[in-house]
Amino acid sequence: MKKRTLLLTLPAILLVFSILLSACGENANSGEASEIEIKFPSIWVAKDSKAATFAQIVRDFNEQNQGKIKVVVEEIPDYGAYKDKIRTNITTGTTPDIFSFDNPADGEFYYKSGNLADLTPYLDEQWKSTFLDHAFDNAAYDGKVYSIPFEFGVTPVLYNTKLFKQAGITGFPKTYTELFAAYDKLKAAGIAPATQMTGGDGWVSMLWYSQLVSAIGGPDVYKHGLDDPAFVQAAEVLKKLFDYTTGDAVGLDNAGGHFLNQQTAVLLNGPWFIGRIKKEGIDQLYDSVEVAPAPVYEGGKGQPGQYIGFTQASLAVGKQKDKKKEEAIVKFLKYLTSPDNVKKISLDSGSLFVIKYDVAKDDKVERLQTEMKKGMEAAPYIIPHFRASVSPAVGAEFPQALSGLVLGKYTPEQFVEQLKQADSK
Amino acid sequence: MKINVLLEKMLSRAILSLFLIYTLFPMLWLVMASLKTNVELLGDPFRFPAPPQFGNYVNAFKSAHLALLFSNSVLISFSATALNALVASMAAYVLSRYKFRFGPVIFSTLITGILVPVSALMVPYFTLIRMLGLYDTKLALILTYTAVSLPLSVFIIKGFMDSIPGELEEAALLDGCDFYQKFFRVIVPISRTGIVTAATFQFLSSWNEFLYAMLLTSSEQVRTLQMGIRFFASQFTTDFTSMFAAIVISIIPSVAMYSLFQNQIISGLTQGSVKG
Repeated sequence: MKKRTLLLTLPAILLVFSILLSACGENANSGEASEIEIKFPSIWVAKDSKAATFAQIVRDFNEQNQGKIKVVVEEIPDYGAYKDKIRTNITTGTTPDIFSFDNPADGEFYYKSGNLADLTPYLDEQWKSTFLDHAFDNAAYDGKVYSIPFEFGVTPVLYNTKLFKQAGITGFPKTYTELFAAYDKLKAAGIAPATQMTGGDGWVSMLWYSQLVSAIGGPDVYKHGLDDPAFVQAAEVLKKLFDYTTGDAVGLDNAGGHFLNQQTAVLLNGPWFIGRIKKEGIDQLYDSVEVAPAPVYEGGKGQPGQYIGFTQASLAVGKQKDKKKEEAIVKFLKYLTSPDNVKKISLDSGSLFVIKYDVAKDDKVERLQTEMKKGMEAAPYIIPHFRASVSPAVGAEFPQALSGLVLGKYTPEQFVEQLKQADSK
Repeated sequence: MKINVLLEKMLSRAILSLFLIYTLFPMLWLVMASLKTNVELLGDPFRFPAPPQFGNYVNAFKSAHLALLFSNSVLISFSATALNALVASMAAYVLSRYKFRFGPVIFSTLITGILVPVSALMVPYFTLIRMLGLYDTKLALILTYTAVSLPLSVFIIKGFMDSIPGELEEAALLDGCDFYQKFFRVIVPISRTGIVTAATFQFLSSWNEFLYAMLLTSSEQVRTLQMGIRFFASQFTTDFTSMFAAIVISIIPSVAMYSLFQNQIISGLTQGSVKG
């Protein structure tokens, strides 16, 4: 009898427990009645190079708007998990107040969901004038602006002058013929020339492929789709580049480890890597690293000095029922993207942004960041990387197809065919 | 003859040693890697740390607030395990001992849940938890973990209960036991091995779960240890050695649980599979 009573009361106990817990949750979240709470799931936390400055900016904003607006940051450092959560939120109609995304292809999916706030009315000339030209090219859908571009990424060549010197090479090669000659010299000196990888999303090798595709097919190459012969030609050269890398390139998931340990002399990566070179590079690596544009392909349509560049992070706002809350969110966005705050984050982390800011003489600007900025400004054109220019399915297929190409399972033609098949699914 | 026996012994020892190395090597490597600097690890992943960086463990504990996350994991995993064992054994009992219309269909439908990938259930679970008002609470994770593992637990426990002779229940009835007494005083003690097996699997899956812990929570107060491990991996940088230290800390309870109940688990898996 006692057992039966226990069994019958168990669900009741659980229910009470659940109500109590949810009530506690609500209490903890509600705060003062008049205060607007803005939830911001963010990846700029924990070990991210922007984390400390970003946290300070949020703290400053909350202090300035005490009792009126409070930004609450939900820490999700794992970027894969972050994307999963945002997608689930949007699918279930529980879009966060603010969130960030990197890939324009993801952006389009979010814009189409109908769950984002239209930011067009807030984007006055004064705010817009603080951004670089063409910054909003991928931010609009159906004539409405649904996101604010924020962080910008360029991925030039980073090369180790000390290792180049050891192999008897001065300066970074200007053409792919010169590049392979230099790689031969590095190999002869017992140095693995460049980092390549097929693990994870194949980031570094995807960047090499992006450089090759636009060096061969020119800046308009993506307009012709994957049928452009440049994609096959680029795959041929990419396969050859794998003859000049480390033995663990197939399956390698860590983009920077070899370069940081001076085990490879060349790496393609962006400004966010500068902090790691300083902190994790061995034997004062930072002083040996120089920046250069990728080589030009002889006979190709690309021009010398081309840069791969893309909006690395855009900020979007979930659709709001309360107009006051929407205005509060925009107020925070304007604060976060103000030239002063962007300058703070940029100088502290080495990252680049689509917001213009002035640099004073006594500002401590990273040497490599300045070199990247100069290269970017001198580039005849800036073109997004391969993954940002194709459908998400093609981007996801790339590392698998690349492994097949490198292991000899696919010819360059079959490699491109694999990508096309992914596109048609 | 003697040579044959000796050769057989040597061969079996060699194969077993190979398996032992294959099983232990990743664990030993993990512990070794957790005591290195990141530069050492990226430079030569297989060299011994010199000197051992015990600071990685301190860093893991301090910066990722592992103590709080650890206690949350303990509470959530044990609660989900207890609730799952209770509900699964009740369901398994009815499905095993009573013949009723649609019984086999209900069992088959329940079991198909084992084959559904958990990532496919993200949207329905998220919606359900929001509707219940349980988002960002520990109870959200307890209920979700309990539910996600029910098919496997019912499958294991039912397999075990199927092997209990019907005469035992009849004897209990003659002794004056009612339905609940029969279940709690006769069936549950005899099925202990099966229940412990299912509970151990449930504990391990709850302890190591990350996807729903991330999806159904937003504040650190209710998050679990697996979220703490991801603290060291950001978009462009990963502090591998501190992350490995956090992983070593996180696997201790799992190893302890399994070591404690390994005899029951092994006999549970073998006995439950044979009708006696």
